[in-house]
Amino acid sequence: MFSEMLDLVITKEDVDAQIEVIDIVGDSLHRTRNKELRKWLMGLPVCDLTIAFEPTKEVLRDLGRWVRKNLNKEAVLRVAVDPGVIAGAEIAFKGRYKDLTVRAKIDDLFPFERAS
Amino acid sequence: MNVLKEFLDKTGEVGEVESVVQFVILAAGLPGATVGERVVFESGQHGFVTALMDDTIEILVLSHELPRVGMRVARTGEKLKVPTGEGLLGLTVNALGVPVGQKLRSLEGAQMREIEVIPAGIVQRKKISRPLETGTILVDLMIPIGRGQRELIMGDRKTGKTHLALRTVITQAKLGTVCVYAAVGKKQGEIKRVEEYFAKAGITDKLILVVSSSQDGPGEIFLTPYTAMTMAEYFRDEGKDVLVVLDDMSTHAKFYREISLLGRRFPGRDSYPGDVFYTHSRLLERAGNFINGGREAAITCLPIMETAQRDFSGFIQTNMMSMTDGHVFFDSDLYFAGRRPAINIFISVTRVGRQTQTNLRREISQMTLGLLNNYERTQKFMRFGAELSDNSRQIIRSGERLLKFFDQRISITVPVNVQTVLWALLWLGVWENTNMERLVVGYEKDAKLRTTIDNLVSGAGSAQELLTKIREGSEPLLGLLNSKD
Repeated sequence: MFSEMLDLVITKEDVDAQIEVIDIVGDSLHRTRNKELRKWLMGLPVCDLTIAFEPTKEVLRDLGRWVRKNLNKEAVLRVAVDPGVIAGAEIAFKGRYKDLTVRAKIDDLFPFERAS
Repeated sequence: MNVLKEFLDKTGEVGEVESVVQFVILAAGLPGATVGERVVFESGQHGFVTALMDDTIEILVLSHELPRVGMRVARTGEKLKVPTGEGLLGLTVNALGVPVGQKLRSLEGAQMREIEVIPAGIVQRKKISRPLETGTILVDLMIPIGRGQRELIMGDRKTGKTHLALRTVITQAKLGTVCVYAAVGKKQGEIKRVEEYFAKAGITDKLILVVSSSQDGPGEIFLTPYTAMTMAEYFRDEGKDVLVVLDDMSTHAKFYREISLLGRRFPGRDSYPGDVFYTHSRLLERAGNFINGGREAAITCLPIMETAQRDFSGFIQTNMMSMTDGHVFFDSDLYFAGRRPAINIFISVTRVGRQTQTNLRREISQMTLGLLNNYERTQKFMRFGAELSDNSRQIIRSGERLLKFFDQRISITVPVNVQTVLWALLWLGVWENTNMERLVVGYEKDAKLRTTIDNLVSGAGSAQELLTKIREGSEPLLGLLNSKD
């Protein structure tokens, strides 16, 4: 219904910012439409990503594109930064969890050290 | 955090706390979660799944500190389990099987068992045929309990319900039965008193105390009787007889009501949820007399239930009455009239206990009940101020003597054969209810006296035969009972 909005909302922060705008103008213009838009934004599925670096806007857009192509075409990102993951990402979406980080690979290579 | 990560990797599923209402958590995610499964929160707390909704799951937290909204939660892939085994004997543990108090001990070698299991079916069960001695004369004689029976102990507060349970535990522990005492949502002071009482009786090596205090979370309190039953099942599977006391189930029902209302489940009668019957029956169904490797091993269960002002027609009370094999009713009126134990035998019921009695005990029970019936009826006449006949006066005298005989101090447990002999002496009118303890102590310590009493009882086929034998050979017994020192 509002798919044209998807380019504007890549991350959960974008969604929150849009909702804030709707809350400000909500009572003055297009009341019914705003209400529907707010509801749609609130219902967008969130994909949690933990990566090793602070992403730029371009990287975020690339990540968003990958997520929408592979997981859900309406998903928005909630990015957390943890340098401990080294590279790759931890992905959590709709209750499913995948650790696709270099840290996990290294842990698999040296299981004894991890245990100690 | 590492524990969470371990389970995230293991199950590949993650959830997020959406709301926290006291100890009930609603979390999104975890699509593969099942009811009863243990979950771990990011902050290290544990919980278990109590309900599954469309997009969320309901979790009951098992600690005082609560997770916050937004925290991650992981499935563990296993049901909630507690440690069981011989190593727990002598310990006081909480609802999760963790030792509490001074006597911390490693539980290495303990077998982890699921708290919620499907009760054994009819094929694994056997008719209740062995008596369970409680050490309380009135119960053993008039409301006998069998091994594997579920007998509800019911009555107003402070009428001596727990005392009966404690005495039964001590009697049974001394006879070698493994006992599990569950204190459900009790005050810390009460738990301490029970602990000390058992320690003083010297039976802790045969006992596990599973405790949750009123300050613990509702989750722990809710789990306490299930944990106790799980521990009992371990010993049953080892071929041992077990006695489980659940003190008390009315508190358990109240905490379950609290949990259900917080979980926004629809309230039913007295605001209890619709499945409160199932909650209790699936627990009590786990008790019974079982066949284990060709041998009988029983879990006898004594749930305790509080009533308000002698009203046993309450919702939970009637539920429990319908899922047990009888009830012992403690009457507050009798308590205030000075009767100890204040059991009303005319309201109390035992459905399977009588089939475990010997013919002699059954006959004695019938004779006693007949006399007490006559006594009650004659007493009613007395209230009208009617002049009584000699016969009625005799009934009143005998009834009063019998009731005095049933009065028993909490510290005294009377073995069944001693009960029988004392009853015979009383029935013959040759003993005046004095120094009962001497015979009990003598029976426990003097092997010769024990053999004499045991032979007297085992050699008698009927009450009349017993009375004849006692009449002929009562001298040494009366000498012991009536001696001055």
